[in-house]
Amino acid sequence: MVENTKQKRTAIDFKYRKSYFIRNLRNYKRWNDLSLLDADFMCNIANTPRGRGVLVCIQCGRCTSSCPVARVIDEHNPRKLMEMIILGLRPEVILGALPWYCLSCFTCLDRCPQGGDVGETMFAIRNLAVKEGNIPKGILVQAQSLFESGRVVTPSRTALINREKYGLGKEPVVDVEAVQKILRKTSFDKLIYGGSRSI
Amino acid sequence: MKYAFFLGCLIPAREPNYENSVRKIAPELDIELVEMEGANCCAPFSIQSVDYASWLALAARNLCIAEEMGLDILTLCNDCYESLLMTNTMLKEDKQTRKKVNEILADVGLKFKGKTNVKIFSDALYEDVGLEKLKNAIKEPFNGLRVAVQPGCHLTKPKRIHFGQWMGITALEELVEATGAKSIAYERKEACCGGPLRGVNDEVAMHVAKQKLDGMKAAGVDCIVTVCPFCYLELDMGQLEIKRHLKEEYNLPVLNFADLLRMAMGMKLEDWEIKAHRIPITKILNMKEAK
Repeated sequence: MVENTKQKRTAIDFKYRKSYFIRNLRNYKRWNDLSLLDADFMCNIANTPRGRGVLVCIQCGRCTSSCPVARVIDEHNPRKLMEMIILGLRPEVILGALPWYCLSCFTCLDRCPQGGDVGETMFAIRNLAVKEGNIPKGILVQAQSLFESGRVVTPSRTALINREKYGLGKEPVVDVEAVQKILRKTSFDKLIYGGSRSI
Repeated sequence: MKYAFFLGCLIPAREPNYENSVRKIAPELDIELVEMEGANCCAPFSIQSVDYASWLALAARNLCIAEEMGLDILTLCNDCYESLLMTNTMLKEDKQTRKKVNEILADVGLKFKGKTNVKIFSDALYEDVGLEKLKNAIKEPFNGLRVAVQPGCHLTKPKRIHFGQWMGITALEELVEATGAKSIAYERKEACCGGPLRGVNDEVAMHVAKQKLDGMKAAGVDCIVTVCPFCYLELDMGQLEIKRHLKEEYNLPVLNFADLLRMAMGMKLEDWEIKAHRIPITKILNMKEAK
């Protein structure tokens, strides 16, 4: 099933992945239906600008042991997420809540012995997730606010009154037109207003 | 010292008192703050999660504005710092990415040249103003105030964009000690406050904040001092939420570093600024008046 569909193979080669399958796949529920696995998923992630880290991951688990969220809940486990990418469990990684637990505090980035940028890979996964329509409401609100007003957080009414009252002057002005021009060019608006959603 | 003053979104919207303090301190330390006209959001982690190219282009636009002014950027927020510094480092090093970003920016008539630097408030004070000058400006030192310094993640992380300097936390601690207060070591000092998950997964954010607050309480501190507005909101507002949901009370007042400095320099906080803190800071004000 793990046929080489693409000509260009990446650093972790095929042999390694095959032995990996046999050892680790039984941990996952869908291990008996191999046709559901996506053999190219790791390459898809590695080909994005921030996803290179997945190629050098040796599954040591330092990222998990340094992660402040993993201390609190069991669902978030960066090492396991990297494992799932290497195995090709695309829907489990991309859909659902898994990519959205990361705080992007970048502790794992500094701790990784391979220079494997786990925290950066998280952004690569999220970028793919957003393309599939998996975006939490909190982030969607911020993104829409950015497109409409050029800032992620818009001031509350009391803050505006306070500014005027205590001599800080008006809110600094954002050049919204330029921001929208940039965001249209990068098709950001299509991502957040449902233009390219497949689900 | 002259800087392009990058405010970001969170500070003018939620913490005008932080901005006010910085504006009051700046002339005393010979810092001139020049407004960046039309600057947009720095594109923090939430925007980076949505799209890669949009992040780089938006951050690069801010850098271009500062380049046209011919000044270095001074930012107050850790998230703006991370976003702008990372973009600046990446675009300076990587010619291919720079070319792509410049193609996007050409539409709004800008071009990234790589002539500006990004500095956060604490680093700018440490490197450009210097401890000597700061100590001379302090008139009413806080003697014996026990402070938990909350550096915030992106002051030092990831270290590869900070050019191998691991200065951020030490610099901030030395600055805090220059005001006469004592920086207390506590558990999980470098850990994240949980702020970035606020709005996405509030429960996890609350528990992460609780870990930090537990460490601070165990070390027996009087107050928390931070440079990052996200950490400020999370620890200040978070304490109320933890009290409500987890029935644990800390009552640790949270101060911006600029507020601490301003008080030590002998300037009084105004009433609305004192009221802006959700955990009352009267304890610190009383301590100061008693001396």
